Amino acid sequence: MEPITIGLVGILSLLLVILVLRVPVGFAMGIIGFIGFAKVLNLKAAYGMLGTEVWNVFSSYGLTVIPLFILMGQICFYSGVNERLYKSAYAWMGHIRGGIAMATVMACAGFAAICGSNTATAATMSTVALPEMKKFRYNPILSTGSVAAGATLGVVIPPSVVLIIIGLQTGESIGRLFMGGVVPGVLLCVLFLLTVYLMCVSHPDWGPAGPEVSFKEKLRSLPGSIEMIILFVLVMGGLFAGWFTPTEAGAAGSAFALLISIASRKMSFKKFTAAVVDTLKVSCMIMMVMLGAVIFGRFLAVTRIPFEAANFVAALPIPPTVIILLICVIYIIGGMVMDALALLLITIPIFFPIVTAMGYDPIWFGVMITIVTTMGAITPPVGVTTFIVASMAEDVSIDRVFLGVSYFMVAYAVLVGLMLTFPAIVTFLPSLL
Amino acid sequence: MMNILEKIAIWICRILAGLAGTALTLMILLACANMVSRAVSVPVKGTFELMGFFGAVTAAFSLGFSQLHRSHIAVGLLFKRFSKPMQVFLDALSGAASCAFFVFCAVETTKWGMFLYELGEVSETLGIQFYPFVFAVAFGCGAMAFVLLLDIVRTLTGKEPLKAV
Repeated sequence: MEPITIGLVGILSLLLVILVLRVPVGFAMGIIGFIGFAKVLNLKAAYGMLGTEVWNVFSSYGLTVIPLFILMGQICFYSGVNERLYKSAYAWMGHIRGGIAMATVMACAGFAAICGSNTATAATMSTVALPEMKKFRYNPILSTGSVAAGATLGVVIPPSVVLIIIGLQTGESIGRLFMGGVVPGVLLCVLFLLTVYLMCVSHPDWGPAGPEVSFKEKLRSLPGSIEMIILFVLVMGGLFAGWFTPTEAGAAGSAFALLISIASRKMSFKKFTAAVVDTLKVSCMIMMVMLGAVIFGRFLAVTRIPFEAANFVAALPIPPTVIILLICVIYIIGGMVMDALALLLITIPIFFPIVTAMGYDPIWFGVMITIVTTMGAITPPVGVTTFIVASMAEDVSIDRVFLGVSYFMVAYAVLVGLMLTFPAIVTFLPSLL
Repeated sequence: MMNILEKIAIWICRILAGLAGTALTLMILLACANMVSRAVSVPVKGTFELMGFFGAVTAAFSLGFSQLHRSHIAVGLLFKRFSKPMQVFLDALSGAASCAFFVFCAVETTKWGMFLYELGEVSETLGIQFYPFVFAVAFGCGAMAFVLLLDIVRTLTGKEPLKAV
């Protein structure tokens, strides 16, 4: 059998194993990659590759950035940052129609700026925002939709675990990817706020105005947010100014978050232990997916599929824009049925050479695929974030949550359209580095 | 017998997770010390390689613990469409494949560690022998294989997979 045929069989087998067998994605990529590598070369070479790759991946300095950034988010979570951010946003926006949903989106954006995970953002914001919106008789379509959609900002607004993974996988600068994600993240947040406003204009009873808050109380709510703004500025500013590497940014962010929470008496040893335990679970899962992706990538490399595919697509008599759109559609559909991280790690070795061969900016592509796959986190059938919100909102069916989320998909579509038309939205800030 | 083995597995995974958490905390301290030291005078020697070694311990030692908490993402979109006996069979099959994979990982990483030990290989900056960290990674993979093996037995006997209480 030709190596390319073995490669194609390997890709199909991987999808089959992941979809049918319920094998964790990282394990599946590792197993199929190992078998495929042995088939193309030989078993001895595959054993040798396994021994060195396990060590190389786990001991990679570049990958140490993952647990450090996750720990920063977890420390913030256990010190109750989400509540303080929500209170600030609530004080300033809660009194207008749909204002509590807007405050939720803003708090999600704030939490996203220090936490790179949409599931963590969804879980934390659901507990804080949903009871409040229920109290003010918000329609569940609006309340759950705003939390689920807002939570996806966790991945889009840097620091983002997905952007880190893309950087590690493609060799692009993580700092530049973070910078590339800033404007699209802010734009998406604004588009979400606009969506809430339009939903309340067409359905005035969906988001009644909350009570008026005095200016003094508004000012009093600010300190809870300011410390997080300082944290965000420290991490992003340090990266932007070249003071430290992404790994050091993660470590500095974790240390600073810990100091802030200890100083404000929001952290105990028990909470710190819980933050570390959660970090270990999440980062181990990601490291395992990375290991699987590296082994699967080695297999694909020996089949030469990525290079042949890049040459084939580059030679096609189709405008590059159409190819990019097709790739985006593949990512949207893939994101609907698979976890974004796993999808990206499987497909980047195939699509990245194609896109760079067509002359597209790698940073732009990294941010674009982050956004389109993130849409999958709130779309059926797998929409993890939506399921988390539905499980937190006791008396709201999953269908209603998906319905609520569908309004926010328009915002995503607008952002993707803007990024396709004006790539500078992504590339401007990284070009300053 | 199974109960004892399960208790041992949970006990091992907890100890390893404790060590992984310690390594993670050391990574923060080391990276921050390096930044401060670099700003004041010279960087801490060997930070780059020590961070990698601690990172390896953090990742490998939390493998079994993560498995006990079902933290590894799986999709299985079509899985629920199968009959219950078929689901048990498929679960056992995937568990066996995963277990075999981690056994291979443990064995091959041990061989790699032995090779480094016999060669007397040292790290570039600190000049220390780093094979113990390679063996630590192999041990983490072995612990993961052990948990997966117990999971297969539980699946075939109609029990839920092993969980840390």
